Amino acid sequence: MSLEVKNIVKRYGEKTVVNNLSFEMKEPGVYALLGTNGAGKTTTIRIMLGMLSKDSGEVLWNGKPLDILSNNVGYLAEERGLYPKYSLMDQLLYFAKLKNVPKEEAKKRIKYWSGRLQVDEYIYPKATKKNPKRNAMNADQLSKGNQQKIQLMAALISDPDIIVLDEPLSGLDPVNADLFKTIIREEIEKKKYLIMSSHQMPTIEEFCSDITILNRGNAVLQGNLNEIKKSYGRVNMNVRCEDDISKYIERFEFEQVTVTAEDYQIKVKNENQAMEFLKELVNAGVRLIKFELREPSLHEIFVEKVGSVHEE
Amino acid sequence: MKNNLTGWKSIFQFTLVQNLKSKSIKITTLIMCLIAMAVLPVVTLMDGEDEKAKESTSIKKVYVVDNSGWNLIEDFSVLKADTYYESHEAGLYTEVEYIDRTEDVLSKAAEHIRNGQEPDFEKIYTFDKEDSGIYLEINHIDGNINVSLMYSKDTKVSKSDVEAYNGFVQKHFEEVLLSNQKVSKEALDIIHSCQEVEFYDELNQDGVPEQENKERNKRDAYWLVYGIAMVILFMLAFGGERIAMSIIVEKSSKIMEYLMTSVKPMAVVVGKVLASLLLLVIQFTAIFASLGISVVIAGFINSEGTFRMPSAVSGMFKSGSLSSVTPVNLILAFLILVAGFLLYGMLAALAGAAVSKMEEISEGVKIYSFIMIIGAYLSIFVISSGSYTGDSFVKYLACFLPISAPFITPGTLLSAHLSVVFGLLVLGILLISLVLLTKFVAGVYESMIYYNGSALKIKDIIQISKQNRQQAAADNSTDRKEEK
Repeated sequence: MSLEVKNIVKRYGEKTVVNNLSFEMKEPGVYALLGTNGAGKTTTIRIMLGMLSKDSGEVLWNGKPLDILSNNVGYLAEERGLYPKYSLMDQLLYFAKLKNVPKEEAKKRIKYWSGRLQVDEYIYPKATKKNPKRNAMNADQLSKGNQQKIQLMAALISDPDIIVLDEPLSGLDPVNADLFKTIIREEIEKKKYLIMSSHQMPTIEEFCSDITILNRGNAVLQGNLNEIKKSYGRVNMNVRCEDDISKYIERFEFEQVTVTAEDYQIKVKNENQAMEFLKELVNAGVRLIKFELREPSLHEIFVEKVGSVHEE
Repeated sequence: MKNNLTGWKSIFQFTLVQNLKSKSIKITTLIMCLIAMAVLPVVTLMDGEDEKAKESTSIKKVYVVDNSGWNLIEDFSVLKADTYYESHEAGLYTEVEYIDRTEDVLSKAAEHIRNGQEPDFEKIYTFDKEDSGIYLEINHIDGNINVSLMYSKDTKVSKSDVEAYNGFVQKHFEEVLLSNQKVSKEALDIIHSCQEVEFYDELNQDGVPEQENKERNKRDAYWLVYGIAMVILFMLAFGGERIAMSIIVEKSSKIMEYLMTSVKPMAVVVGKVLASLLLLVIQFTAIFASLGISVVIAGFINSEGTFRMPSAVSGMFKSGSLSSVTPVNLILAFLILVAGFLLYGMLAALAGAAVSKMEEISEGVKIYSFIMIIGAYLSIFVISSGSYTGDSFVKYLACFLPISAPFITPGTLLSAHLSVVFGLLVLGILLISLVLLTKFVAGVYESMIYYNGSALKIKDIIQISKQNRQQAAADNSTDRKEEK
């Protein structure tokens, strides 16, 4: 199975909001769509799901056009929504029915997911003496985070093959963010195809094998995240020491140096330059606490790529 | 085979069930049913109070002062005949004694004049405190007959009884004059027995005279056509905003994006409009059922245990008004009604699709109300002017125009003022309009899913329509290229 986006173009009048975008998921996993606000991530997702028309291009699932009526797709939208005045149980059964999940099966899945996401007290409230027959709560009785859990339930209730998560962790507290991450991990293990859009770079690095960085509708960087990082090489050096090493830094004429309260973050030309610098410090008898040479983080790559385009 | 309508049944069912669960809808329907149930009994009770007052009268004597010169006093006896009385006033004035006081009054007036005084009517028309009489004065001036009643508050006679008697005399004084002019008792009976004049002026296909009172049928058909138009107008005015709100709820609650991963906009629009219309029909069925109960309750009030159709209702269901109803035109009228409701349902959906926030719903509904008022007023104009019975241009315009057809065509069909062939044509036009409008509304809805601005104006909607057509053309072109 594969998910392929081929040469998608979307224009609003003279403005091109998605420009000839292509990417492919040949294997299950998580594909990340990154970009600044207004870069075209959500528009791309909406086009993929057939919610927005496209000017050209195609979206293929197993070589055939992706059709939301025929293919099982789960979607957690960036703009979360539930019917505020309707019972949660009614809504979830309705969403399941729209996805052709039989009622009894839907009830089983609601039971499972409500326990898994710790919202069973809202869907199956305990009877009290005052209210012996308590029905499921309405959406407007839930906190924003709990509403988000219900929406994730709605996205997963059909056990979809393709799961699209637009900013899945935004607005969640650390505990619930971890809960969501665990569930995402489980879906990856189930060999599902996930498309994730997020501003949280550590989350993307944690889950995603492949990425596309969008800027103003254009893909400015695409490919396997590890390979992208490798291509940059280990050029990020962190040094923490007890002595002043300014004079050594000046001597090496590094491209970029950031001094923080605790350490020096230095961008080196290559690993050899870093090793020579380390040798110099050791020979000079500088008391080192930390020396780290690493590949650039996704955050750094993102800022570099998007920032450079902005500068242009 | 999955298509743009796949999933509409689920949306229909969910929308209907959730609306039926809604407290506001339950309370609104209950209040309207209670009002409908109470209206006729209250009216009947109020009428009954008047009728009860007429079961007896404080008037025992009528002093007739006849200045007409026709000596009508003997002729007042005809007012004691049963034929003059409505059922609710039967026997009320049969015991009244008519006493000639003409001479007495004239002599008193003459005496006043002889004494060089102006006639003092307070002294001429004298009442005894124990008296139960009133004066009835008849004057014939310039070819007009004036009848005046006079009573005194100091007597046993009440004002309400005088008012009731006044109505009775007004209604029947002509009979007194007929009696005076020596129209025989038999002739009078014949005149009285002739309650309605009916004409036999048309033959049916078998050559048998077909009884038809054209004037009466015309009048009764008017109420049928007018009544249907007003009920439809009321239903559409009542239901329009709710349909629009039902359409906007997904957009305002941001749930639209989720739905769009399961169904197409067309399915959402169709499912929601049908559910809202069915709810409207359920509500009005309950209201009409309550009116039925109201008729039954009112029928037993003031009728001593036996059912009597309230006069307010009996006048509306005369045999002539339904004589032209046949199974064919009944089915056709029903289909036109359904198509019309769906068309207006889609217009209301368009109003909902044109806005993005719940608080802007009244702004969106303006378009719907504007179109509905034009359609309804055109129909009411044609009905009120009587043009619906003829072959005027304006009649056919109202019947064929999709926005006015739902109001006027069912009634004109049922009253046989529009042929079945024309009815079929109207149905065809409505169905074509419905399909085109549904596609258009789905297009606007799809285009507006992510729109968060203020309510669209008509020109914006037309613009979207054009863009949709261009987009569809572009999609078709791409598909053809891919097929090649």
